[in-house]
Order: sequence, then structure tokens, then C-alpha cells
Amino acid sequence: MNRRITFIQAVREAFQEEMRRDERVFVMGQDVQAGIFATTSKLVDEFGPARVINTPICESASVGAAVGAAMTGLRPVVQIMFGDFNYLAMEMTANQAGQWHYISDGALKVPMVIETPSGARGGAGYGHSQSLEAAFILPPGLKVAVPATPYDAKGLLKSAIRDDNPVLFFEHRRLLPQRGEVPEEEYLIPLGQADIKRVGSDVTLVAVSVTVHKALAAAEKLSQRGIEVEVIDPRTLVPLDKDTIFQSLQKTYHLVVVEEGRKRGGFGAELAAIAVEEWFDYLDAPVQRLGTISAALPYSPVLEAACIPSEEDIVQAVLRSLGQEE
Amino acid sequence: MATAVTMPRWGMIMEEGMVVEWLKKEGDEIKRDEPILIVESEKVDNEVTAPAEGVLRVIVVDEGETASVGAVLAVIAAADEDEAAIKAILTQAAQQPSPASSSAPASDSHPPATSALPPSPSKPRRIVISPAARRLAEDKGIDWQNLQGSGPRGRIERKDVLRAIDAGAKPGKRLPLSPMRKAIARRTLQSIQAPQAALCREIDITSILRFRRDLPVGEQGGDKPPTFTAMLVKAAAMALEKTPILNALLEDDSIWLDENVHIGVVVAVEEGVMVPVVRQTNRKSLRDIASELGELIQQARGGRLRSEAMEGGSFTISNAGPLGIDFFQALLYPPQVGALGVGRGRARAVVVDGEVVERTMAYFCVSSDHRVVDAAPIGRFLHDMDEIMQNPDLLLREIK
Repeated sequence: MNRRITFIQAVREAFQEEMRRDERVFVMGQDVQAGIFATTSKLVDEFGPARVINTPICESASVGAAVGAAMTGLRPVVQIMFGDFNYLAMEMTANQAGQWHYISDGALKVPMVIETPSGARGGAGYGHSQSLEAAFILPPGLKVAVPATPYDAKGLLKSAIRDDNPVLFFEHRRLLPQRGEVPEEEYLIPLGQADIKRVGSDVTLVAVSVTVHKALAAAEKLSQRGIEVEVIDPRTLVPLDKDTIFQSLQKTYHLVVVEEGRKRGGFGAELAAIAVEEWFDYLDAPVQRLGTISAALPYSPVLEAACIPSEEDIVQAVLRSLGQEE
Repeated sequence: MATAVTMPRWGMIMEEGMVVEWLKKEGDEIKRDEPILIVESEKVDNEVTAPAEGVLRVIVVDEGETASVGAVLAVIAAADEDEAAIKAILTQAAQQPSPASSSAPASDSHPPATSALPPSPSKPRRIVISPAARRLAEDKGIDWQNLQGSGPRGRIERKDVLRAIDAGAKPGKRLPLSPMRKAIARRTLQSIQAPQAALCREIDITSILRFRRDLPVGEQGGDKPPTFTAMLVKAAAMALEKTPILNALLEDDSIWLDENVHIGVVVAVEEGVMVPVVRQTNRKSLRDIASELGELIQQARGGRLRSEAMEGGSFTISNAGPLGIDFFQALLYPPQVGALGVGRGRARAVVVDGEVVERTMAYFCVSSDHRVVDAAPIGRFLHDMDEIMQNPDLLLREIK
């Protein structure tokens, strides 16, 4: 495996392969034919405008239409570009898409994906910068994928499209141009299987999406000081692969969790609560959580950087966990 | 007027007590004689009542702390009482030595401000340990209470436990000595200082056991027959009347011969032993002794025995039969000079009137303080006990 392609290409390959494989799969969203973030670019050339549908600027209508299409047998992928705007479609996503399988006593399935580029990329400001993945672990019936590499993105998106449940698929915008190894041959990554991105023995560092890369960089720095950090990428927040995290904790007894989503009520809060509930006897220090502060993200790239967890913040959190803070 | 609430003295042996719980808090209205706190002394927990009416203005000794008898625990005063009166009591309190308090005497040059509290004695140290370290320590049987923590704010972490294991920490755990065990420790040490010896006689208890079994229920000792121990108490009371030197107290350079026989009975309780005293056993019927002893034992096992009920004994009996002990030297309780220890009854082949028969035999051993009691009176006492055991009807003899 030595082919290196971008995150964007990996996602586009997933679309191509799944749309070729299953004619029920189609894409809809604002300017998906052109592809604002290029993940859907050129799909229209191969699959035509009936399967690559541009929609008006109305997220609730797009997601609502997708829910209906999914209930009636199609497998839609809706793109909500700029993850922040998922809130506009929250009723359709949280109350409809996630719950109709239950409400209908299993008669209906809602196999759909919301593909959503998101996250802070240096000054897009309050409406175009948030990482909202943790907002979707609260409503029932939704799965939440947060790939951090091109390889994971392709494998997870293919699984998401084949899954019979609604799946939120978050693509951090800083990751889109990044390259990584992706094999030519087809593969799938099951939803709910974490990946140990770096093996270590001293601290378990669970990192979400873009922060996986910051965590790996922080781990390298810490390694020079003799601290070996195990970096775990959950890859999906729902379902959550608790076993892999717990196995790591049984080795390290120290847990740090980092996300670009907001710290308050975030994924880290959920994981810390699980740790206290289920893994209490394996905690040798308080769980350290890192996330974005509870404020509107500023337009100034400098101020934005001050609001979100940095590599250095992660280094310090690991040291705090080990009682070696500076 | 401000009134001090002080550590009471329950019984002559009490030297200090621990405040277990304040039933009232500072600022509460207090009625006279109302219970305001619970104190644990060496052998009992009990309520302390308010010596005066008013408001509980200041609590001096916190829960969990120990104070000497007479030490000021709190101050009760009228709601509008002048601070000076309270301060006067507190200054006095700060100057009296207290086992738990290392507080300096209040300085005259810097009178305390309105909240005239003396420096609060330090609270017991809260041990902070991580869940993982605690689990490891408990799995390995390491006493983590005494480990030094290297984590933030002294938190004990896994590495501290691992270090202790490497350093060869012995598996086990450390228990603080309870007030009762402290008292037992002091009494046993005191006891061992008396020059003492035990003299034993093997006694046939077949008859008395049969007698007990055959006693009509209801006639003697309420709805249950008297216990074997109650019978021993009654028998000893009768025998001691004939051997007064064993029913004596050695006080400095004199011997006190009590006109009555007050028998302490050793009772095993959860964390040690208690010795309630049945008073004037020589004036009581077997039934009265049995019911009184039964009540005292229940109080002892329920932790409700009052200190007074353990005082004033002139002789002590310990029945170790239920523990499966054959014979033993009973502990002497100075200033008493005699104690009887009875072992378990066992079926033996013995010779009676030239024939080998099965009889239930038990060892009766008398410990005595040799400064006062020699072998002869003990021999007489054991002979008399033997007589009563063979003729249990004597236990029902009219009380003089």
C-alpha cells in the first residue's frame, strides 16, 4: 500500500465506488455538482444530474427530503457544507431521521448519510468553524463518524452508505487536502472500531478528528521526554469502541481526551463520565479533557487558535495527568 | 451568663473522651438538659446534656477529636451575651491541656476578634489516593493509609504503591486502637503487675447440668432456665461468703473486705470484652441473678452498657467453656484479688465409688493476688464450689 491520495480524493472514491455498486445511492446538497469542497466534484459527469442533485439553500428541506427518500428505499447522501448549518436541519436529523425506525416499529429504515465539512480553519468565523459532532451523540438513532485520515475517511464513508441507519459523517476542513496511504483495492472500516494511531504505555490519549494529528505531534514531543503516549482515534463517536479505550487504560491508568468540539457537554465529557462509571479502578489521576471554549469562534485566526486545543495544550494535559505539569 | 460544656467523667477510670457527634450546631437554641452531643469514652458512647439554657455560641472540640475530662467542649450563652464572657471561657479552654489540641494559649496582647475561636485543632488527615492506586493496594494487601503520596496535593498514585511493594511493604492493614482496646490494654497491663498464680481443680458438673436441664421452666429465671454462667455466679457468691479474703480489694497498704459480693462477669463483645458487675449477688436469688445478668449481657453486646455497670466488682468470673477452652488463668482485675476461670465441660471416664463411669468434668481455676491470698483459701473456695456443683439444690436455698 503506497498510493498516497488526499482526503478529498478518498471521499470521492468512496462515492464513486458505492454509486457504481448500488444505483439507489445518490448525492444531494448545495452545489454538489460543482463540489464546493471537491468531494463530489465530477460525480455528475459519471452519474448524471438525477443522482447528483443541487438543492436550494435550505438545510432542513434537504435533510427532510433525504429522510423521505431513505424511508422509501433510496440511499441518499446529503451534503451540509459547513457543519455549523446542521443546526438548521436539527429537527429532521434528530427527531425524524434518527427515530423513525423505532416509531414505525421497524417497518421503516432511514439509510442515509449527512456528509458535512466542518471545523476551524483559521478565520472563517462563528458560522463556518465549529466542530459540532458531539451535538449528534445526544439524539438517539444516529451514528457519528469522525475520520482523521484519507484511509479512514474512505473506509468509513463506504460503511456509512451501506449502513441502514442515518450516519453523520464529519470531514474536518483542515484534513481535506491532507494526503495519506489508501490502497487501490476495496476495503471497508466498520462503524464502531477505534484505531490505535500510536502505541504507548504511559497515557491513553483519545483524540477526535483533526486533533488526532495534534495528538500524534504532541506524543512525539513527549516521547523525547520519556513519556510514551498511546493515541487512540475512536473513528466513530457513536457507536463508541469502549473496549479498545479500556484495554489501553488498563495499561496506562491515565486518560486524556481531546476534541475540537466544545469542551462543555462534549465528547470528552461523555468519555470522562464513562471512565468514572465503568473504569473507576483504572484511573490513577483525574481525566484531562481538552476542547474548545464555550464562546463564539472569532474571525481573527490568532484568537481562533487561542480558543481551540493546540499541540502544546495536549502536551500540558498529558503532563498534568502524570502529575508533571510545568 | 456564659456556661461551658465540659467533657464529663463517666466512672473513675475515664480520663478522656472523643466527641463522636454534635447534635446541635453553633447558633442553635438549647434547652437545659437537652442532649447536645455524643461522647465516646473507653467503654461506652453516651449523650452529654446541656448544663444551661441559651444558644450554642461556640463549639471548641470538633467531631472526631479527643479531649480530657473537664475540658471545655463548647460554650452556651444567651443570644445577646457579651463576647467578653465567652472569651473568658475560651481563653481558659485554650490554656488547658488537651490530648488532641496543640493550640497555643490565647495571646493577651492580641485579643481575639469577635469570632473568638481558639485555633481549631487540626482535623484528621484525609488520605487522598487515586482509584487505581487504591485498587492495586487492596489487591496486594498493602496498607495504603500510611503511604506517602507523590501526586498533586499528596495524592497516592499507583507508582507510590508499586514503590512500597518494591520496598518490601508487608501485606496487611493497620487498625487504630479503639477506645475499648486501649482500656483493655491498660487494664491487662495493670493486672499483670500483680503477683499472681492460678490454682485449678477438676470438678464434676454432671449434676448441675442435669439440674439446670430439669429446672421447671418459668419457676426459675423467667421463661428460660438460668444460664450455666448465672449458676456459677450464684455458686461463687455462696462460696465467697465463706472465704471473705477472696472477696477483697487490695488498696495501698490495706485490704478492704466487702460485706457483699459483687461479681463481674467477662462478656465477649464484637471488639473486645466487657465486664458488667452483678451487685450484691449474695443477697439475690438465682432467678434474680440470671435475669439481671441476662440484661447486662444484652446491654454489653448492644453497646448500651453504662460505665457505672462495670464498676465496683469484688470478684470476677470468666466462663470460657463456650469458646472451647479447657482451662486457663483468668485475668485478675486489680484491686480485686481473686478471679475464677471455668473451662468447658467434657465427658470423661472417671472413677466414682470404685466404678468407672462417664461424667462431665470441667476445670475451675482461681487466679489470685498472692500478696493477699495464699493457696489454702483457694483450696477451700474450690472445695465449696465443688460441693455446690454436686448439690445444686443449694442454689435454690432461701436467701438469708
